[in-house]
Amino acid sequence: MTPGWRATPAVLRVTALPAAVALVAVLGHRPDLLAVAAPLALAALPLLRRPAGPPEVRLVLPGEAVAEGAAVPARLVLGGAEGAETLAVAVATPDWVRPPAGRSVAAAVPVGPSGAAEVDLDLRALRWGRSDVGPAVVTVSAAGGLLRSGPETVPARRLAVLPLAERYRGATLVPRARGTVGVHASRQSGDGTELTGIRPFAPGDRMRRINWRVSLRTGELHVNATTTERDADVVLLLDARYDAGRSGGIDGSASGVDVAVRAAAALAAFYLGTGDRVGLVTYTGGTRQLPARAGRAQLHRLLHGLLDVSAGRSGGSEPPLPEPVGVDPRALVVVVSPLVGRHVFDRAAALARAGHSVIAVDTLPDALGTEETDAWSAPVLRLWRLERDTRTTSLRDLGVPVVRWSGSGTLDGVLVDLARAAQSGRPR
Amino acid sequence: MIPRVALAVAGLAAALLPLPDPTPIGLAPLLIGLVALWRAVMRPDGPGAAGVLGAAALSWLVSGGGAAPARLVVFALALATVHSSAALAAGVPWRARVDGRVLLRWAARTVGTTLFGVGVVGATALLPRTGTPVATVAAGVVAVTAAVVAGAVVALRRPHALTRSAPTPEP
Repeated sequence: MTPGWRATPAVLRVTALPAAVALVAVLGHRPDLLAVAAPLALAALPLLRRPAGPPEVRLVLPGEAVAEGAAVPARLVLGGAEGAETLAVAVATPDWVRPPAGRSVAAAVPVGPSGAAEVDLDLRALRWGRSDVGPAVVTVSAAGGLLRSGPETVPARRLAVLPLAERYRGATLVPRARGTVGVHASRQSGDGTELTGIRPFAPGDRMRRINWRVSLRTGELHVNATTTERDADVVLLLDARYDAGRSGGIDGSASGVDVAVRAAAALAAFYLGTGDRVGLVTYTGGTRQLPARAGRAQLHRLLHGLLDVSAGRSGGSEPPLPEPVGVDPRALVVVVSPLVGRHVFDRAAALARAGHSVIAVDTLPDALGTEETDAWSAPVLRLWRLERDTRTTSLRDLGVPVVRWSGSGTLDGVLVDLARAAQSGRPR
Repeated sequence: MIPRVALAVAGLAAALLPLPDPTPIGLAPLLIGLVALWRAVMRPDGPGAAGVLGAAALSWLVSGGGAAPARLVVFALALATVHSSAALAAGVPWRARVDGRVLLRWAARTVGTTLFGVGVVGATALLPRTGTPVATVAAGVVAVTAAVVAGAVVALRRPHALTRSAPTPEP
């Protein structure tokens, strides 16, 4: 923003008005009026120190992406305004990156002798997604308010808020690894080739693991500690076709899609952290699939893929959930969904029948009511819940565990069962 | 909000300090001043503040003759505050959090110019009286006024010229 300087109506008050009062004072023999006019006339003196040039204002964000719940130390930076006195800003925060109170930030700060000033906005990322910060309306004043630059608009900037509020910790079990030599070593210690250190011998250790050189030197048996190689695919199916509940940000209530997106992000971060390959299929109005890969770059891709998830549908026929393509037959498929509608149950069942290990994670909020309250609302809601429970039971009968998302360890119990079933070769 | 509150308080003081006579000619400037004050508080960037100052000066002319020096000083301070608070409020959003340093500089400048201006005028009362005709004095005032206005015009034109001659390059 590079606006120019212009005079304000205040100039009239310090030139013509005191001159007129002084004239009346002289003509009317009223020297007391001169005492009234003199301070106003003196207020024109700051015009002698004019601003040196057009000010430039930038909206500075801490980066392109922040984690949900994190502080966003955004700043408005003014430069090149030597001689200016006051910087006043009003920054709109229409989305979920906001100040602790209110929907906008307005402040006035002094401009330093070098013509620089900063306004700290102290925002916080309250909900995942893409949020605008701004536009900002900026006014720079000089010469006691006699000169002004602006109001000018600094365009809004978009910030990606990653759904990384909670950290998932759980069992590193996967029902079935891909069976090849691992491309990515897991962090689980065990019988593998990836050396992680040397430790004292313990009952159960194999003889071929003994490190003779260290054992002879120390006089005690030591073995090479290794990690297991495991290369499992985890595919997250995020169903965001319908939402349920109200989204209140990280400190408020969470809708079904909020919980689903946070759960998918937490699971992706966890499994990628263990060295597994994670893919993502999102169902909103359309379908978007990110193939399973490993590594930090994949986490970045998945998290940004989740940002575009939003439930926009409210009417019409239920959108389908097409079969994801290229999913490894041994992949663990985690269907993360509020389980609203019929097709999500059908898709989970179809994947299970195709031989995948499938877990359905239920993200429907506990306190779910209806916005329209009439005589039919409660019975309809009760009927809908009964129908949903019936479908859930059918899914469980098919061997697909359905668990409510409860943060860390949500999948542990069902993973043990699935792994045991996979090892014994019996149907789940 | 602080500049607007200051504007309202100073405007009320400027309207009431002349102690207007309860006559139509005494109350008319008061009424005009209050209406202008309302407009000034709502839109500090408009002509409302000038209206407040003009109406207050007129009211003082009508009713304030023979006032005690202390009341005159307070009245001058009120008018200066109306001007400076309107100038500050015009550039600051309604609900803006105003930094304490901005308020301090604004208050210091207002009080400083008032005391200096009133002091200079008061000092002239100590000078020996001369028999200069009123017409001569009026001509002098007109000349000084013209000089002030011309100086302000020149001072205001320069920043525009500077802005035009040194445009910021496109990124």
